[in-house]
Amino acid sequence: MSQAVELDGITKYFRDEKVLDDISLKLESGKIYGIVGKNGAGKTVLFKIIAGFLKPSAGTVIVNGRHIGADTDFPDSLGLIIETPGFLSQYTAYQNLQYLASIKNRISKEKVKEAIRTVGLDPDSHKKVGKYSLGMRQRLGIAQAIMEEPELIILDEPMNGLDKKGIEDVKAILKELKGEGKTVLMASHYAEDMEICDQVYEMDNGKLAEYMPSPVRMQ
Amino acid sequence: MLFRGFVLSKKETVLKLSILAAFSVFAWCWSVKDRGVIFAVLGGIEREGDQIEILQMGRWLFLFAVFFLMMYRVMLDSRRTLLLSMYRYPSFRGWWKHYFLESHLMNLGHYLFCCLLWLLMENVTDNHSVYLFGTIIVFYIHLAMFISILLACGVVWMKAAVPCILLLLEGSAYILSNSLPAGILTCGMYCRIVLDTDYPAVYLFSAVQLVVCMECYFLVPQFWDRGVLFEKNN
Repeated sequence: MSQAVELDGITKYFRDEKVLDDISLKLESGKIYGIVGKNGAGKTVLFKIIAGFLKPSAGTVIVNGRHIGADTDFPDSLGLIIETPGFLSQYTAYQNLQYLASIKNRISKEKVKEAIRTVGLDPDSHKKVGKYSLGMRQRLGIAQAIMEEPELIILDEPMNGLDKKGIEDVKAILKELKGEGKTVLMASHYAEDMEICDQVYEMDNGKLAEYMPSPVRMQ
Repeated sequence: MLFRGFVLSKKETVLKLSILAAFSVFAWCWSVKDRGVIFAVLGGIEREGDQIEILQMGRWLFLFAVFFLMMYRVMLDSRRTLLLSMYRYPSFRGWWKHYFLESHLMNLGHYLFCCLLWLLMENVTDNHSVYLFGTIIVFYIHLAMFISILLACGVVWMKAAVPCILLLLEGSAYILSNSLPAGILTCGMYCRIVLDTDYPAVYLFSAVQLVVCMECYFLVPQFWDRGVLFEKNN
């Protein structure tokens, strides 16, 4: 299998504080990877570095063979949720996604609607996003991440705000994406969200290690 | 309705135009129209010895405040969707170019709409502006400089206080220009150019302001290259 993401010695400082410590990681295409860790462990910073928003203090990021920060600013084929997805609250779900899709202009309006339907929302609804619950916003965030059928999908806390059914729906979507050969990297505070992952890592104080479920955690 | 990067609903467009129309009428009402509405509204504060005209200064700053308010909405929407929209561009420079140019285009649209209304009002009152194009151009370049600074600071600094700081600086510049022989400080006021005999090089200051606009445009990608743009949020 080909390498989707290759991190080599990623270290990140904010002023004098070390937030990521020598992280090296290889993600193969067509798999789901998870990172668990508490707040402030460095998950979001790592995701922002892979997405190109932040530059590492040391180390290299290669996504689909291209060096982020040198060959390109952002990965070519990326879908992303980082933090709570920000939408234009005065517009509908479809208008928001159509605006985002118009930037690359690669997909049709029908594809945009299909992505909204995939996450269980109604693309023809006139309800403004400002009136959406956190769970509905999260679903819409996932829709924008997958609508352009990217090769790499990075989801920071995708289950955040979702009810039990919503979590099951998202897991089913992620499994389907894996079946299509997409690479998914997701983060969560909770180990139980990671049951669909092929490999899970744990992040603590900026260090990444393979996740070892303890008997207490398994409960 | 899609205005390239910015989504505008019909409702929002109507609201925006209504605010601008109300502002235009308000500005027209307060202006002394002996040299025409455009000159009265956009020409600036005439020098009356060393006296500081507080009321006129308030009117002058109000003009910028309205255009800043219009731009604030654009910047707010852009900031909300930043993490979802930026990575869809081929590069940071691609995103910044779209954002910068489209914001200016939108600001120009707001400005031309107001100017059009003032010209219509002038026809109704049968009172024609002198120095029409000079006034329109000099004010716009001054406004464009402020908008460029707003946009650049909005990305680099992300502080909501920037518009207030700009208004404070503009007010301070007027006060200082009255007590000091420093005409350059009121470079957006066309009346200073045509009515003050001691006013130095006429359009030079507008050229300097255009250079500031370009500086803002080229400076922001340098912050990106240094990798410090998004660090403040973490």
